[in-house]
Amino acid sequence: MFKKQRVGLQLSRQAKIALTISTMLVIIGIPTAVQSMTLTETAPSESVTISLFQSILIGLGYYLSQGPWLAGLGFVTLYRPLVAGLFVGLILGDPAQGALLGAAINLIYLGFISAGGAIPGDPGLAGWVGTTIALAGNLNYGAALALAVPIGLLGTVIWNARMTVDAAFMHMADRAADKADIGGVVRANILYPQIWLFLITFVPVTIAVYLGASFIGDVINGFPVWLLGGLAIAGGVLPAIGIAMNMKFIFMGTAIPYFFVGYLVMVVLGNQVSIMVLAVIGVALAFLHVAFLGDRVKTAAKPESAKLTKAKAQEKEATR
Amino acid sequence: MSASESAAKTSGEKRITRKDLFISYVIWTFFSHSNYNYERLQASAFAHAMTPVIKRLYGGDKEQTREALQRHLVFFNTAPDIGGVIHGITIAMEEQKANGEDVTDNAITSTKTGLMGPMAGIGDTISQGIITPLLLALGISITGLGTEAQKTGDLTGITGNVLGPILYFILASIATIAIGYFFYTQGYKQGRSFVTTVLKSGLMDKVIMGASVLGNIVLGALTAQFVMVYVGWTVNIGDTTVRIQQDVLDKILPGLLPLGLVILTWWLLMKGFHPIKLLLVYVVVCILGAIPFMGPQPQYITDACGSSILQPYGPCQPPADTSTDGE
Repeated sequence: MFKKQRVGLQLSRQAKIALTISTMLVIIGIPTAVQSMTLTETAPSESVTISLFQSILIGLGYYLSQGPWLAGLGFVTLYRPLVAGLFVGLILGDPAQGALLGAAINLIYLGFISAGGAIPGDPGLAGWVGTTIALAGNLNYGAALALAVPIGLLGTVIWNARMTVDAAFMHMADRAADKADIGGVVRANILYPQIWLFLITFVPVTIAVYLGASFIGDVINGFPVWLLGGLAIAGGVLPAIGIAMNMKFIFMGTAIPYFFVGYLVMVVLGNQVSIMVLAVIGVALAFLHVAFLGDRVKTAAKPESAKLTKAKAQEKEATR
Repeated sequence: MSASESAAKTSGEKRITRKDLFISYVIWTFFSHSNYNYERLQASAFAHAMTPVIKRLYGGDKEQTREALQRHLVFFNTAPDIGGVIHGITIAMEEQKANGEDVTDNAITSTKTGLMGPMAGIGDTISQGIITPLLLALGISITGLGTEAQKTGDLTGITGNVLGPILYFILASIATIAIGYFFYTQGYKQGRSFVTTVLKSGLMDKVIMGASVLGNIVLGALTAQFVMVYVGWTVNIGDTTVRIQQDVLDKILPGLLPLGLVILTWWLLMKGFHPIKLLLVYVVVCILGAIPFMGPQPQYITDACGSSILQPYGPCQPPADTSTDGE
């Protein structure tokens, strides 16, 4: 027999739960409090009001993006702002604009990678809530993008709450296994963690969207023009980070020149060529490249995968 | 030991049916991250995916069921799609063990832990690092987000194409499901040798290399399409006013600044900067650059469009003389 690793994060778990709950209170509380203070202000007529039903649908969408119910596809589909934007647009009655805003927000998270249980920001929350606020407040491109950054950061709090508390269900699974109770293990894997996930995703998002989305949009629209201008500039700059995050994985070795090829083709043709055409050219070049290098192909991404493996090994050591 | 011998006598050789394998795959696909946690990551999901196998092989034998469940509740973390090969291999090993072959608990556990690292590395690189961003880039560009929309900063004028996200949704789903199912079943059919032959043949290296070439081309194109940096400075030389952006930088290479910014960001990320920190720094720099009194040219202060040191065009509409520059 082997020894199970039961040592987890007991020491800091209570602190983390407390932190999570207080943060959620802040998320829920600030829009409520601010709204009650500013009830007398009249909202601009252009902003969209969000009904409770629409808020519930948005909260449900965010839960599904992290939940398992879409054959595990939530993570590659609903979790991405591009798709989230479309659905928010459908819910709020403007799918085309929603898809556009989602696509804009997705540029920041183009290189999003979750490795070893850690995420750099939460594209899901940025997509669902960011698009909602941008649509409700009729925000410009840059403001929507800049808004998505802090929202994505808040999302990591939800993620940490999930990853920390779920460890408790691991021990329920252990107890069920000790009794050879297959059903107990299944319940520990689905039932309890999904109730918890539902509580920390659906509830805060629904409430925040219902009470705060229109208001936050109005506040941003009330910013001075230089601030809005700055956010618009940021809209042109922030996609650099999404692209660079992805480059971390593939911008190495003999593949580097192709980055400049793609860049120059696009610049020379004045952005008139579709990505699809470039992708087809890219596939052809990829075949040629691999064929000519033959057996001398040393994987470009090897150092990164080795690094990931190492990170995982370290994490494993840490959890022991 | 006696229990397994008697079971083998009564029912002959124990076999996993195609249905068991399929159910196990479905459970893994759905619930691989259902109970994702910092302590043992996907451990309970692995045990859950093994339940059809355990029921088939050790059904009715409480002692062996308990041991099997405990065996699979150890630390596990891998890529959800191509990592399925590990499940296939584990199921094959469990089958051998149940039929009295000499497969120890340690052999199964060390196979799992030995393979999960490399599989996570390759899987994260291929699916999260290449396939998803490529399809996203395709979807985003079909949606209709282009340079013009960003230059004016106003999305109300253009209509998005909902085909972008829909196409991404379908393609990403098909890719994920197909890869996952292929590796799960091949892992069971071919066992450990599958992984070693694939890893040793260099096929994965070639796939990753080719995908990197494709990915780099697309990323370069996205840089040209979506990243926008301008400077609004002008320099007076005698009577002529030289605009740094239009008269100098664009003459050297159109879009020199976006390219430089992306390379700089990449370099900073490689140096270990956290992307979120970079995001915040960039937003702050952009806003500071847009504050009127930071700009060197007083006329920008009165520009209602919010033109500034960093963006000569402003979010409202580009001046007539710059619209022909063909950015």
